Amino acid sequence: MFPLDTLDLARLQFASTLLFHIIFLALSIGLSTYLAFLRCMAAWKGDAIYMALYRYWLPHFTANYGAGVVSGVVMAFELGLNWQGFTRAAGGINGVLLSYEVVTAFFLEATFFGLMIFGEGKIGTRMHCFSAIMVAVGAYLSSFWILASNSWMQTPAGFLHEAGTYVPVDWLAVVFNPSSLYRLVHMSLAAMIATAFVVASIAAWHLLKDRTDPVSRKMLSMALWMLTFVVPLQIAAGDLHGLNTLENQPVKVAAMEAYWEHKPEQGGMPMVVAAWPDSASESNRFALEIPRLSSLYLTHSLTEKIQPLTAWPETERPNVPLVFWSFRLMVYTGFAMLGIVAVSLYLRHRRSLFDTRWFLRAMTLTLPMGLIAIEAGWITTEAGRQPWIIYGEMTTREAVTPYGTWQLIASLAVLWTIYTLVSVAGTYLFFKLTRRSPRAMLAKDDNGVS
Amino acid sequence: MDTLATVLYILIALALSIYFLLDGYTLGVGLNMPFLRHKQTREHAIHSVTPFWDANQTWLVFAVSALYGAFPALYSAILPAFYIEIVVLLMLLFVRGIVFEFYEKFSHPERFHALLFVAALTAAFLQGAIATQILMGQGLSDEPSHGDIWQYESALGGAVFILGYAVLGSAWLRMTLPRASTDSQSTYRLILGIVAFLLLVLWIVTCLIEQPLLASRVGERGGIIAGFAATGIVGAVLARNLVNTRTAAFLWAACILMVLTAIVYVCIYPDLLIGSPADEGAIAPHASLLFLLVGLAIALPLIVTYTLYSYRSLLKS
Repeated sequence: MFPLDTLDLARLQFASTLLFHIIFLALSIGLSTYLAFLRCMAAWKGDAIYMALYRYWLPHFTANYGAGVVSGVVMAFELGLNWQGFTRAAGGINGVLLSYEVVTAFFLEATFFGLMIFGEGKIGTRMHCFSAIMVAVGAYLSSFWILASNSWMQTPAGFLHEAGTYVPVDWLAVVFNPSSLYRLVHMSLAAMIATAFVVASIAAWHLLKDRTDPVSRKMLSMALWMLTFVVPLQIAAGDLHGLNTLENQPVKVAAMEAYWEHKPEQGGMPMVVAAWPDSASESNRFALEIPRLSSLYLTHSLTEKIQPLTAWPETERPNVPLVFWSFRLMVYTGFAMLGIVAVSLYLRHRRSLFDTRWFLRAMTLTLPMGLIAIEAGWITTEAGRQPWIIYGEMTTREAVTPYGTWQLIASLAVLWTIYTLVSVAGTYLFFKLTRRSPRAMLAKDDNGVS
Repeated sequence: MDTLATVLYILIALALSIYFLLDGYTLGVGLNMPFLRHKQTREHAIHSVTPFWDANQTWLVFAVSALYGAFPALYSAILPAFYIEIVVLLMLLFVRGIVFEFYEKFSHPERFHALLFVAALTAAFLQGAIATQILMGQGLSDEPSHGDIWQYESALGGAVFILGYAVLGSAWLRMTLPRASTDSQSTYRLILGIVAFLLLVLWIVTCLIEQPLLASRVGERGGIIAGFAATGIVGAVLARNLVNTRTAAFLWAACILMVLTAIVYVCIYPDLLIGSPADEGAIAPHASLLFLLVGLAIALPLIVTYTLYSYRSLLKS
């Protein structure tokens, strides 16, 4: 017998599309914001360096955008292909939110993307800047609606369940359900961070070869300022999002913390630094713990506790090791980012940011850092809500389309083949584009004011 | 169907027709690749659609997501019915989009030409075959993967879509490319047009024979159908007189497409699929339809405005 059933395979398919798509999506949000800013600054200040940065990053953005759009379309269809039970019952809510995303964001992004890339010299500077801004606005609007829709599945609100259908009764409550704004802020900041690390690491790589290059210097400096402000903000936002999850999906938080049961002798809840959570024995093996720390950040006291995993029947718990470790990975990456920001501030203070070779070398390695945190975060939140597709309302098993195993394997093979080919071509292209010298983009008469 | 559902039915139908027209010419450019003689012409051809392909494809995403929001039962039955076909179609559209955005950035972009052609050919075939199955009334069953696109009327539908898109693509190129690069193609265009038209007629006759319900609807609604046809002819005549000859072919193809799809929708209505009446359970709750329509009423005029603006500014030479 094949070890995975229809549900496992359908989830695997959706998860691989999501984890593939989210890379491009995050970089699209971040790069569109960055490019809109650069384009407007160039037009405003008439500064050739901003325009050089714009020229350097534009091809990265267009290639990334293409992959993001097409993988997003796949996701939109997969919802209907794989989760028939869900789409039939919840189309009146979820389908409407997706339609709002399409008509407010997708058309906007797509059309102004065309104008941004091909309109230069045809539509005037003002309109060109406006197009770049609209592409970024489209990216955020798209995030707003898709995260509202995802959040409604995590923390459903504003509906009635009538005769097998989810009927909206209060659209404000549906759209602004308990977790949607938290998720929106957390994801938008994450996208900016992930992009800033990609930009900073490439700038550092160019500075290692040519430390006098004014374009790479500006690139590194801007990216690190971005991180300096956004990383601490993100840690605070993450804390708030965690508390919101504790309120609405307590079992997810218990799994994130691998908190199986109360132990009176410990006082508060310890923070489990590392362990192998063992679902069979309902305990952590090889646990390394810091006493009371988890109580401190979850309840902001030293003694209070959250509901432990054993408060829920086994069938209503998520996969604890997966949720625990993906959450650790995200948080540890986040704190490592904070360390990098601190070092960068110190070097800036010493005026040796562009000359400290060990720091530049270290920065080149941070390229995937933000993306790793995003992938880990999405695994935490999506695996952590299992077994539910609509939290507390409908399970993924009830929702899955009853395909035969071979059909799912066949489609998975097709998807993975294409994703692999696109990844190979995309990676090759990324390095090809990255090798171009930022300094070579500088041209005196190209200062963004035509 | 009540008023709200009917308005949404019309909007989704219209979005689908707009998709056939716009992505039709985009995929059609891919289909024309082998028939463009010079490498440079092929590059120009790709450049002529690069600014628009994404927005064009979005009309399909819009039609499908609005279908999901307004008629969830239909959406959740149709998609699984053609599971593998749709997955393959999505992957082809995926490859197509990647080719457009990666194209310029590789050292030998001409290597993508064959890929674009194959992706467009297969995608057009699958669209035609799936559309024929849906037109025949297949799709409204809970059993997944029951759609069978390997029946002869579906294969015929696939061929009609391939040739129809090729006509649109060829007309688009004639409209947008420099005169010198497309003038030598008049014989090719004539043959393509005639073959496409004959196949289209054959396909329509086959569908009417295979689905008697469709044939009886055509009989019942002869007046409306004649009205649509007359509007199409007036449009075609106007196009001939108002615009230059390089643009007329595209407008003619657009007229035929719009009239034909409008007739199909009129014959299906008030069913959602032919033979499957739209009962209460097939339509989303009233509150969903209302909220959806409010959003569309605000967004669609804006979309049309900036889409027209983008065509006007980017096509000006």
